[in-house]
Formats: sequence, structure tokens, C-alpha cells
Amino acid sequence: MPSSIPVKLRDVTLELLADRAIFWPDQRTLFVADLHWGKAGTFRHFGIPVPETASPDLNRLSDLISQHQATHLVVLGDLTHHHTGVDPQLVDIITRWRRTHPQLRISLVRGNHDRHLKNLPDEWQIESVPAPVALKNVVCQHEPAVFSDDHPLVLAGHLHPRVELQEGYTHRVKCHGFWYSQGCLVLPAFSSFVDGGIVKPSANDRVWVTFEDQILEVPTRR
Amino acid sequence: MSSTARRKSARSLAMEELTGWFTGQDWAPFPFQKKVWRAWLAGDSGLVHATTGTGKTYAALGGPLLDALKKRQQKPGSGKTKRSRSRKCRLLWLTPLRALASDLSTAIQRPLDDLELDWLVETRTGDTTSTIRQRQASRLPEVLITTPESLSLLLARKNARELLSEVDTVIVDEWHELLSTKRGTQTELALARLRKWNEDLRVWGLSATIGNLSEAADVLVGANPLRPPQMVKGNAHKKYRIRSIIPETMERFPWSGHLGLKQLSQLLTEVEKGGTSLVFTNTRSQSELWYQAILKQRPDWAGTIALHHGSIDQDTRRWVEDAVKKGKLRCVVCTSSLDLGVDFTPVERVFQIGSPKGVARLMQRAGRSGHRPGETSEVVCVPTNALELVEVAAARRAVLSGNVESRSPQDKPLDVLIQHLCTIALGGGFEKTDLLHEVRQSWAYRNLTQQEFDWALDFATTGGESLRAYPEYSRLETPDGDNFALTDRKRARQHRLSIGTICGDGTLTVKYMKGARIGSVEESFVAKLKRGDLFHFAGKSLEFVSIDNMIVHVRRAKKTATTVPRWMGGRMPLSTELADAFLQELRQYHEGDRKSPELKAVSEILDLQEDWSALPSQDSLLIERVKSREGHHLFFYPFAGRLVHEGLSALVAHRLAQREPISFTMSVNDYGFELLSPQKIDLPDDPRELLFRLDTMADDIIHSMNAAEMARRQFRDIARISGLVFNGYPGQQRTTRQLQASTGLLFDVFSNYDPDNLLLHQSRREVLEQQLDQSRMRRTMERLLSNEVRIVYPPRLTPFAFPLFVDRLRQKLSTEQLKDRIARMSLVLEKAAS
Repeated sequence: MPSSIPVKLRDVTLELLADRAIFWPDQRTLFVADLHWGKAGTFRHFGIPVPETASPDLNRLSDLISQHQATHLVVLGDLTHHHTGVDPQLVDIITRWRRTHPQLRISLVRGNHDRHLKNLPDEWQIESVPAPVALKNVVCQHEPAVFSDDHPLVLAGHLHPRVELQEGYTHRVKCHGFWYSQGCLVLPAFSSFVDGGIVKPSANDRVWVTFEDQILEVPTRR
Repeated sequence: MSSTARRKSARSLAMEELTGWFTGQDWAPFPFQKKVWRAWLAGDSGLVHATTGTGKTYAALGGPLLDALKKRQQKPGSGKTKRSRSRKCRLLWLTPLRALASDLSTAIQRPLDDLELDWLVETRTGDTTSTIRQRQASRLPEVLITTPESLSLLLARKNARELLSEVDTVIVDEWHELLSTKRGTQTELALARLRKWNEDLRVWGLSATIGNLSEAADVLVGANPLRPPQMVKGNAHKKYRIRSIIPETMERFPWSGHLGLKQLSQLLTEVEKGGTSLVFTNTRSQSELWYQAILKQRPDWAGTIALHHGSIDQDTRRWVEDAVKKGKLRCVVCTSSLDLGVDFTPVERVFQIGSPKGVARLMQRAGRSGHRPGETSEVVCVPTNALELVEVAAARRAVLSGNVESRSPQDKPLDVLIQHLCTIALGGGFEKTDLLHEVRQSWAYRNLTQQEFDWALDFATTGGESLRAYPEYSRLETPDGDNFALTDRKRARQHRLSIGTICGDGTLTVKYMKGARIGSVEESFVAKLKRGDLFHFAGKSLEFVSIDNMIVHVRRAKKTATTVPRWMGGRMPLSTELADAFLQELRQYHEGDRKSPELKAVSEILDLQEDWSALPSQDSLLIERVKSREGHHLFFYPFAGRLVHEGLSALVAHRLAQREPISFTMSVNDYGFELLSPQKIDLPDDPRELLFRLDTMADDIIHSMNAAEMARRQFRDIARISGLVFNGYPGQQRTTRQLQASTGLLFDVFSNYDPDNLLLHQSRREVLEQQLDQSRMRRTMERLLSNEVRIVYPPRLTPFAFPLFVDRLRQKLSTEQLKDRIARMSLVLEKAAS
């Protein structure tokens, strides 16, 4: 199993990465969805002791950026989880991380969670725009939808899709994955502190599952 | 008053009064009741064990009554004046089921009224109205009937000590039900606290017969009792009759299966004999199926038959219980939800569908009939497959010999401790050395180390090691590091809502579109439903409409449904006692003793088994090897119950697969397990050392069982109890949206970022000890090592192998890489719209 898979969808060539991100070589752009920064902080705010997961997630992101020499990072919504979790420590962690990528342009296509935080800290240098956003022949938005055949490719997040794989009679394995259905490619959540909703693809869809550092397309028809 | 009477002591006058009351009821106190009264008067604690309906309630109540009567003799007229001012709670009566509270209340009220004792009896459970609750907030009645959870909530009140410090007696009803659970641990901690406030506290447990009665008594009185607990045996010689409905034609009777509907018409004939019948099933889905089947055969019974299980709405259940008590129902199909409590005098007949699983359980169920002292309790077993007939005969043997299962108490669960720390912090706060000492007085935490206690306290206060970087986080407040309190109102409310160790996890309320509640189902079932799908629930045929805010909206279906929800859990293993009795039945059969009607009925099948292979036995391990189109099968019959077989099959598969890369599918039941592989398995002539050696057992289990995944699931309850999951305030969905994380996810996050968290260790330990029953597994392996091995090659699947073969609930184990397997797996797709 490889750690990335090239795909061509609606005339756009992308690389699906096992690390739950997409790289668009033409534009040197990296797409991720659902980072949910500050989720652990929100839990702490409400008295529930949960360890912070931001730093390891940021390290993964840094690795991807340098590995692919990306110049643009597009977040497909839900950058932050809730304003209660964006505490000074987190702001500081992110700011320090941001300084390590001074040249990188970061855009946030706002999702449902992003409404909780009115303004992102200036030091983060993240441009925040409402969905949908068109980049060349790719449309970025947070919530997936169904599109006609002549619509350009749409990238989305929101669902944190996971699929079930069946082995033998009843043994099932759940994996995070990419789900392409009717013109819309849904990315798995990048955050390591979110659950995935189980999606059930239909026979015309395409599905790629990620497993540890590997990615594999699973046929939807047999 | 005559001069003789005056010379009598107040105590014997009190005794006369109480015995007089019994005589007035046409009863005479049983010797065992008097024994408990005397022990109570002497200041003792202890355990009364007897079957239900034998007068345990008045055995426990007598002591406090005598005391009150005695005091009245000494000080006539006292207690009449200004009673409400001086009112203090004296007697706490704990019951595991709040449904029992009102019945108990009536039973306790009777002698009080007749003897004109001026005591107030009240209940305090989840059902108590807010007016009464409010009044109880400042003053509790003399007798309070409550549940372990409600008692914890009382302890979380600031004035807890003031309310409860004069409690001198605690009665723990149905102690056997609580003993092995975390609610039992919660009870132990509460008792330790009450005992600290009043060291003369008398605690009496009422229990059905279990295998470890003296341990049960020890747990109740704590680690360092001032006086050893007294054991009082209730009226012995409860008579049991256990028989089975034997199928008319054995040829058509299946070798496997668990529905048993083939026996329906015979059961109906028995039910028609009159009176109320209880039909016990082993699962909720099965009860739904039987209810439908009965109604289909006897449509004219509609209105006189009912369904009762744990997912049905409380009000409906209570209505059913009430109707049974009044003798208005002909038949109730039920699950273990009716095992306990409520006095069901009108019940004439009890049926058990399928395997009784355990001796104590069957006795308990049988005890629902013949509820009056001295009557015989009868249970009619309805086997669902041929081998279950042997189980019935085995159960009868075990009941006669009194071989009843034990229930092991929990060993220092840290999640319950963390919850308790918050409870006490809320209920007035604590000093840490004091509290450690107090907690160690309970049986469960008698061996709690200073380190473990410090860790739990640290976790409850600052979130532990992983949150060091977040000094502003705290749940408990501590001004000096020694004293702890919880005063933040929001956190306090949150904690009170999460008290309670019984976890209804992931269940959704089922409601009609118009709003009436029907009950609750598990999320996993609802996830499979599509709009318009029909399913049976609570005895009704329903159509799924929508789901939002944890509520499943349904309407009455016009057509008959075909599916039944599957509820998780409740799959009990066959107990060791019953399994042993099963093997004894087989041995007697083998030796030519064929008297029991059940074994006579299955003789053809047993003969076939002997002919093709051999009968499994206590002192040799039978291994059958069969080749079929599906591959190579290995069947083992250790007779250790399905939990142990689950662990053992994975372990054996793991050890075989260590020698060469190979994939197995495993299938288990209560009698044995099957390993199926595509290639032929190389098995030495004496495989005992290879398969059952004990030295690497724990490691091998962890490697073979996907123990990580099991621990992840076990973490669900632990996270809930220790306050890591907050379900939200009743009726306020939105405020808690931001706090949604499955416990599985929390488990992953803790494993990655706080791997030394003791709650993770606890979940792994609980998997090994409780889910896999490691100690029973070890005993089984020890036995198998010393057994001789018989490997046979039957011409085809034997009667014992067949149920394993057809059981599709299989586990997989493979030493191939998961990524190679993923490539072979198929995706679960949306079902094509039909």
C-alpha cells in the first residue's frame, strides 16, 4: 500500500495522501479539512480533563507542507472547534507554529464551527472567507453536496467520513477515508480528536481508505 | 397495669408487642427472623440469605421496631409531641430497583400503623416528586427507602452529615444483585462514610443464595468491622420443581438455534391452564419475537398478555407490574427485568425459554412462582435446541445439590473512586488523609495504595500529569493541597447529573410522532434504519420516521414488521456450576443411567455423537477434526462458557498461527469453540503444552484478542463514571454540542497523550478480569493441561459441532498483515433501494 494515490476527477489531477490531506501539484496547494483546534481546551473549559492534541497535529501538518513544498494551505472549514477552547496557550502554540512557515499562504473556507470564533488572532495570518470558494477549476466548501455532471470538482469536509469494511461474516473494520460521490470529494478530518461519521457509499461512488501511513482505493462494486 | 407486667423489662414487652402484631396477621415470627432481631439488638451487622417471599423484610425491620417499642415502653408518650422538629433519619433501606421502593414502603408502613409508631416512611429515588425532595432537603423521614445513586446524591449535599449522622441501621436489599457491580462499590463507599459518622452503624444485607455468602457479608461490613458479621439463614427447604417441555417429535427438533418457537403450541397449552404465567427469555429481541408469536396464535388474548423488558418505557413497565400483582394478566413475556423484587403472588407458572445459563438465575426465576412461604416454586423450561434439554437436566441436578454460582465484588475501581471524591468534595469537602483512611475502610478499597489514591485525587483536581501545562484547569478546589472542595455551581450541577454508575449508553428514546414515549433502543440499531422501515418494539409494529436530538420518531405501522431491534449486552455465559453439571449428566448417560426425561429425549443425538466421535467429558479434552467445503475445522469442547471460549479460541489460534502465517475464523458457544482455516492445520499428537501452557498466557491473550479494541469499549463506562463524558443537562441539547466525543476517541487520545493514565490500566484490567474472565480461563487451562487429549476424525459434523458451524458470529484472527487483509475486504454499501 502506498502513502499517496494520484487521482483524476473532473479533469483535476490530485494526490490523495494517507495523512488525511490532498495535494494539488499544479497549484502547489495542500487541502485539509476539520482541524478543530481547541477542542481539548473546550473540554477543559467545561471541567473535563482531556490532554491537548494540537502540537502533534501541527507537526503532521508541517511535515506535509515541507514534504510537498506547498505554497498554499486551504482549510476546508472547522479550523477551530469553539471559542471556549481557544485559550492563550493554544493561541501561542499556533502562533509559534505559524512563524515556522512564513512564506505559506493559509486560507480558511469557513465551516459551521468557525462561526463561534468571530475573529482569528492576527498573528496566525490566516485569511478567512465564506464558502464556496473557487480556485481555478476546483471549488472549496465545508459541507458536501450533490452536483451535476458539468459542475467543476468540489472539495469538502464536515462529515469526517469513515467507512466500514467487511471481513468474513460479521467482522467489521472502520477506517477514515476519502469519499467521492456525485462531483464532491469529501476529505477525512485532519484532527486526531474527532470522531468519524460512518458513511455508506453507493455503487457509483469511489472510496479510498487510510490506514496508518497508507492509503488504498476500495472498489465499490465487485 | 398488673404488677407482673410492670416487672417485665421494656425489652420483653416490646417483643410481646411485635409478636402480637404478627399473631394479628395470622403469622408467627420465624425462628430466623427472631434471630436477626436479637442480633440487631445486640448491635450486630450481618447478612440474611433466603429465597424471595420468605419474610426477609420483617427479619430486617424487626430490630429497629423493637428498639422503638422499647423506648416507648420506657418513656410512654414520648415522640408524640413536636415530632417533626426532632425528626431524624434512623433507617436507610437501599434497594437496587426503584420499582421496589413503593412496595417496600407499604410493607414497612403496615406494622408502624398497627403498632402506632410515629415514624414517617418515605422513598427517595429518581421518581420522587420535587415537592417531597424539597422537604427532604432539610429533613429526612425516620425511614428512607432509596437507591445507591440517590444515596450518593444525598452525600453530595452540603448538609449530608446533618441529615444522615443519626442513621443507625442500613438495610441493603437484594445485596447479591449489587455485590459484583460498581453500584455495589458505590454502596460500599457510602457505607464507609455513614460508618464514620456513626461507628455503631448496623448494616444488614438481604441476599438470595449465592456461592460466596461469607464474602458477601464481609464486603457489607467493610475492611475493619468492630464486630464480625452474623450470617442468618432464612427458611430453608424451599422446594423447587424444574421440568421441561419435551418436543413431541425429536426428529424435527433442531440441533442448534435459539428461538424455540417450535415449542410455542405446547407452551400455550400450559399457559391456558390458568393463572398468570411469566415467560422469561434471555434477550430483549427474543422477548419481542415470542410476544408477537403468542399474539399471532391467540389474537383473543390481546389485552391480557404483556411484554416487559429493560428498554420499555418505565410507566408501561410499572403498569405491567401492577397488573401482574392484581392478577389481571394471563401471561407476561419478559427478560431479567422481572427477575427481581416485586411480590408477584398471583404468578402460577414460570417458563424459561432457552438456556437457563446459571443455577442461581433459574432458581430466582422459579422463585417468582410459589411466592408464599412453604409453597413449591416451579419452572418449566422450553429448550430451543436439542442440547438445551441436557442443560435443563443439569440445572435440576445443580439446584438439588445446592451448587450455586458466586458473585465477585469489584476490586478498587478508580473510576468509582474519582466520582466519590467529587461527591464528597461537593458534600462539604474533605481533608485528604482523612478521606484515604475512610475509603480504605471499605472492602473494595482496603488495599488501595497511597499512590493510587494520590493519582485519583490529582486527576479529579487538576486533570493529572497530561494537563500540567494548564494550571487554570481544575475540577476540585484546594486552597492548601490538603483540603478539597467543589463549590463551582456549574461543575456541581454537572457532577450531580453524572452520579450513578449504571450507564445507559448510546440509547435513544423512541417516541410516537404525537409525543408519547414508548421506550429506548440502542443507537447501533437505529443507525441501520431508513425512513419507512418497519420494526417490532415494545410489542408494537412501528414505522421509522426520523431521528433528531436523540429521539427516534415513529408511527404505528400498517403492515406487520419483520425486524426486531438487537440490543447489546446481556449475553451471559453458561456458569461453571451449570457446565460441570452438564458434563456429569453426559457421564451418567455414558454409564447407562438414562432416567431423566430430557436425556431420554435426546438419546438419539447423544448416541450419534458417541458413534461418530465421543461425548465431551470432564477428564479428557475432545478435539474433532473435520474437512468441509469451507475448509479445515477444529472443534474443541472445554465446557467453560462462552467468555472463556472467546479468549481461549483466540489464544489457541494465536499460538497455532505463530508457527506459520495463517488466518482463522473462530466461532464459540457455551460448550466449545471452532477454528476454521483454509489450509490444513498441523497439530501435534499431544498439543497440550503448545496450546494451553500458562507461562505466556496474559501476553498471548493481549496479542491475540485485539485486547486494545476491547479495552477501548470497556473504557465507555469508566469514562462516564469518572466524569470524562458529560451527557448534558436534561432538555438542553445545544449547550453540550461542543462536548461531543465518543469514549472510544477519548480512549485513543489518552492512549496517545497520557499513556500512564490509570483509568486506561483499569479498562485493560477489567477486560482481562471481567470480560475474558481470566481466572476462569486459567483454571480451565490448568484442567486441560492435566486432561488427556482425544483427537477424533468424525465422518461429518457431529451434533456438538453443528451449532458452532452454523453460528455465524465469528471472530477472525490472522497473522497476515492488516493491510493485506484490507485489500481483500469489501466495503459496506448502502443497501440498494428496493
